[in-house]
Amino acid sequence: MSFVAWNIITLLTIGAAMCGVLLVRRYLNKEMLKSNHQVTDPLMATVGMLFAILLGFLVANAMTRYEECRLNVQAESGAVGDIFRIARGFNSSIRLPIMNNCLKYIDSVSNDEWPALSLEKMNDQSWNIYSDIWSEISLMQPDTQGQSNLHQALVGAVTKLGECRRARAAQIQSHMPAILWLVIYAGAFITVCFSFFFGLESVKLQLMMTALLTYVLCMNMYLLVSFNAPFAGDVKIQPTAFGVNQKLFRQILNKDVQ
Amino acid sequence: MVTAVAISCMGVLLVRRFVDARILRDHHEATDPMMACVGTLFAILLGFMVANAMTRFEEARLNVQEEAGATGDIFRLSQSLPPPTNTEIMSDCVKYFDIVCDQEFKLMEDGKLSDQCWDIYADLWQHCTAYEPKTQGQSNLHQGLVAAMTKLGECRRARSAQITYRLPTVLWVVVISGAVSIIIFTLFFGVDSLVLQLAMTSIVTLILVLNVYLLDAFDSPFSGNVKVSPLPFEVNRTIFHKAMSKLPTIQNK
Repeated sequence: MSFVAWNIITLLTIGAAMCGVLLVRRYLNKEMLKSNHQVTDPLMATVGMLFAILLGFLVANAMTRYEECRLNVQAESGAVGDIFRIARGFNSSIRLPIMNNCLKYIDSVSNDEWPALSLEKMNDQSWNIYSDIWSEISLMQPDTQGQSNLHQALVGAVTKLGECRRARAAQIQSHMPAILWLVIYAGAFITVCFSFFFGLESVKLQLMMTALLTYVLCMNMYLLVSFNAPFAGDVKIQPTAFGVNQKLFRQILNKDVQ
Repeated sequence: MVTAVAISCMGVLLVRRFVDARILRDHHEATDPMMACVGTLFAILLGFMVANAMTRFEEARLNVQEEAGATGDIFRLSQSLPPPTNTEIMSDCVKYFDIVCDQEFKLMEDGKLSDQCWDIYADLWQHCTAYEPKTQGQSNLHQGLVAAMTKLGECRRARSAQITYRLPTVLWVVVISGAVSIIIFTLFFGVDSLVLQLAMTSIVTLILVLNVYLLDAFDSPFSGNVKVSPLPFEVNRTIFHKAMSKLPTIQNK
């Protein structure tokens, strides 16, 4: 969800919370609410702190998973880069298909697969190119000791590529369970509702505090929503690492072909 | 920092001007738990983000160390290879150190890397992949070279990503708005002593601003007041320049 859309939802939620305060004030006597402060205060403190700790750690956890996704994309792009460079040590009949497939893989991932990631899908063409790279490397027969050393490194790099690709496939499917979302939304709702049960002298001050509380809760929940889906939304991971390699590989391949 | 503290103190005075301290005091029972909720939430978020930024800074520092180490390994592994491969690789390593220390670290402050360094890196790969070992010993060295080159590539690409990665703007919006919300909540307290309230509000504002400053400082590991030093490269550069000057001696052994 975009930040602009979430801000609209936040404004509506703040409006609803302020209406809640006014509604409670309309139907419940201020003095009656005031006399219950000795209970309302500690109960809200308990509920509020519990929810704050839960939400805070969930946001921290989502940001950690986001960081892992970002580093994985970097590692995947790096593995393709290593395959490309190591392959240059072989003669043209061996190296050119591998190098071309590396570039095709990067093009396919950047242009076709990345938009699909936001829909939690991977691209079949990218999987096919990945399989082709594997076939070319595993069917290789090195003629010299030097080529054998390079072949070992190639196998290591393509294994790494596979690990990273599979990790990315798992990451786009991994989400917080629905029950956790239920607890989060219920917790936020209950915390805000507790703010209605104060009978303060100044309604304006109470409205302002309720609005601030609602705003901060909504903003943190936006962080959770955004970082929970690392390949979609406003903070999605970009294929920049692949883009850098794309340009470089094209230049090198053009030179090699000439 | 001073501006933020001044603005928060002005906020206290403004609220006190329009709202009686007694009324604010009567609201403490509500202000207290609400601020506790908002404060705890923001404290966990900001604390985690600062810790995360410092971890990324430390990773950048260790990455520079590993990159310098990988280049050093390439230099030392190639020393025992036959000419001209050994001199080509060794002089490329020294050129790499020179350009990283003299040019690239300055460029990184603007979020860029040196094209010349990328060219030298490409040349190093070319020498390593084109080399054909004749003996088992040379083959072992070659394997080590390829592994070291792979490590150098990983570290260089990681550094390239680290200079461009920043915390998303939306995160900054949440952090700043959270800090402002907490400061606003402090304005809703009606303490008898105005001086005491001004002091407490100033301290809260100061702590928040310092933590946000920490976040900003550690967010960009290669620029600003707190940045990763090229010391590992500089140390290796000095050593390897000396080694290169003794090169005819090494080749005669």
